[in-house]
Amino acid sequence: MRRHFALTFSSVLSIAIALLISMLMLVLAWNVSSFTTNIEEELIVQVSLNPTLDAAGQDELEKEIKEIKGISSVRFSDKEAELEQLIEDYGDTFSQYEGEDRNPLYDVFIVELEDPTQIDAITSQISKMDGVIEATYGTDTVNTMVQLFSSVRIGGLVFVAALICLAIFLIRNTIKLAIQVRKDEIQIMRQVGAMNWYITVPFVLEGLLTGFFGALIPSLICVFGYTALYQALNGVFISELFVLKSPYPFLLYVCGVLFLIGILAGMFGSYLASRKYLRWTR
Amino acid sequence: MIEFKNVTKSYPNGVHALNRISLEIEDGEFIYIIGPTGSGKSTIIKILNGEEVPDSGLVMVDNVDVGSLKHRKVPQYRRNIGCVFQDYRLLPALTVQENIAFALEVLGLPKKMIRKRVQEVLELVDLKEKARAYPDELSGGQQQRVTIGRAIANRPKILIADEPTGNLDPEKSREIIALLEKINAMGTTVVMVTHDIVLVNEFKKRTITLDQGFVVKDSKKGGYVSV
Ligand SMILES: Nc1ncnc2c1ncn2[C@@H]1O[C@H](COP(=O)(O)OP(=O)(O)OP(=O)(O)O)[C@@H](O)[C@H]1O
Ligand SMILES: [Mg+2]
Repeated sequence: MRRHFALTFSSVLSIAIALLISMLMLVLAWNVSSFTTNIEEELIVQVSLNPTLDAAGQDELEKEIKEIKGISSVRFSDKEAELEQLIEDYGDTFSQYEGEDRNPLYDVFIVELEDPTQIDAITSQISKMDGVIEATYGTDTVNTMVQLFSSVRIGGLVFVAALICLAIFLIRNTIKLAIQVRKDEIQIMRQVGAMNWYITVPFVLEGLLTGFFGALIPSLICVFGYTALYQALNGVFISELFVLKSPYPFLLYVCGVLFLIGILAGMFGSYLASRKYLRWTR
Repeated sequence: MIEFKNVTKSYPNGVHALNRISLEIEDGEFIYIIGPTGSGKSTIIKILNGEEVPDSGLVMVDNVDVGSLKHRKVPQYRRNIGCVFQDYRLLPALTVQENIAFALEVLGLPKKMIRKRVQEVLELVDLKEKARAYPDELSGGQQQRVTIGRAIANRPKILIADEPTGNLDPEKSREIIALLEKINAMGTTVVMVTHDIVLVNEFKKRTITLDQGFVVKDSKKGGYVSV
C-alpha cells in the first residue's frame, strides 16, 4: 500500500481536476437552467381570434391547439378582460376604449408552452389555423437567449458525462498499475484458492477512496468559491433577470453529485480493472 | 483420485502440448512425471490446478470435472490442491511464518487457528528457527521448504510440484524429496514433475514418461529406463 502512495496521490489529483471541471460545468449549467426557468415563465403565445368565430368554432380551435405537442395550457380571455389588463398595465389612456363596441382588441387564447425552444414553430403553426387573426410571442432577444441557455445546459451536461468517463478511465488505469505492483501477491492468493471477491474488494475500496478524495478537493473549492462569488455579486449576475442560485441547499446538491460521481467512478473503474485481470488468469 | 481420459490440449499458437492422455492416480500415491523439455509436463500441472482447460477429454479430480469448472468455482476447487513451483514465489516483504500464514489468511480462517497451524507447518518443514527470517535470508532449499509448507498449510488432498528441485543441488533435492515423502505418508497424494533422472532412480516411485504430448511409459515399479 505504502509503495504505490505516489501513484494513488497522482490519480487522486487527476480525478480532482476532472471533477473540478465537472463542478464548474455543473454550477454553470444549473444556474443557467434556473435563468431559463425565470425567463420561460414569460414565454406565452398570444392567439388573437377572428371576431366572426362562433362558440363552436372557438371550442374546435381550442381543441386543435391543445393537440399540438409541447403545449402546457390554453386559457381563454375575452377582449374586455384583455382591455382591463392593458389599463392595469399601462394606465388610463386606454380607458377611452371602454364601453359598447369601442374595444379594438380581440378575444384571445393565452397559450403556455412546455418547451420554450419550440416557440417559433408552434406560433407559426397556430397562426395558420382557421379563425386565427394572428399569433405572437415575446421578443426575439428573449428567444435567442433561451436557445443559448438551452445549448449551454445541454453542452454542460454532455461535458460532465465525458468527464465522468474520463474519471472512470483514470481510476481504472491507476488500479491496473496497482494490480501490476501486487500481481505476485494476487497470483499466490489465486494459487491457494482465495475467492475472487476477496481479491477484488480491496481494489474496489481503493478506487472508492481515490474517488472520494478526488471529489473532496473540488467540493471544498466549490463551497468556498461559490459562496464568495455569490456574496461578491450580491446574488445576481449582471442584471436582475439572472438570479444566482442561493448557496444553500444548491451547494449541497453540487457536492453530493461530485461525491457520487467520484465514488461510483472509483468503484466502477477499479471493478473493471480487477475483473479484467481476474478474467484473463483463471 | 485423479483421472485423465483422452485429454488433448493445444495452445493458441497451434502447439499440441497433450495428445489423448489417459492416466489414473489413486489417493495417497506418489508419482513422478518425467520427459524431455516441451513434452507437456507443466501443461498437465496447469490442467490439474485449473489454470488451463483441456480441449477435449475428461479430467476428474475427486469427482470434480476440472475442465468444465466455472470460473468462479475455481478458487474453491484449488483449496484442495497445493502447488509448488521451481521458482519459489514467496512474498519478499513477509517473513517465513507470515508467508505461510498469508495462504490461510486469504481463506478467511480465524487468527487463532492460523497461528496454531503455522507452528505445525513450520515444525513439519523443519524451519522453526527460521520463522522470523525473510525469504532472501534463506537458502534455496529452505525457501522451497517454505513454499511446500505454504502449499500444504490448508491440508490439501493433493500436492502438485512442478520441478521443485530444479534450482537445487543434489543434497538439497534429497531433502525436498524426503519432505514430500513425509507429506505423502500423511495421506496426501503427491504429483511431482522433474527432470532429475538421478533422483527418480534413487527414490523409486511410479513414473509416467511423456514425450511430445504422449504418455510413452507408465512404470508402476519406478525408476527410469531409456526408451
Ligand atoms: N502458454 C503457452 N502458449 C503457447 N504454447 C505453450 C504455452 N505453454 C506451453 N506451451 C508449449 O506447449 C508445449 C508443452 O509445454 P510444457 O510447458 O507443458 O512443457 P514441459 O514438459 O513442462 O517442458 P519443460 O521441461 O521445459 O518445463 C511446449 O512446446 C511449449 O512451447
Ligand atoms: Mg515445465
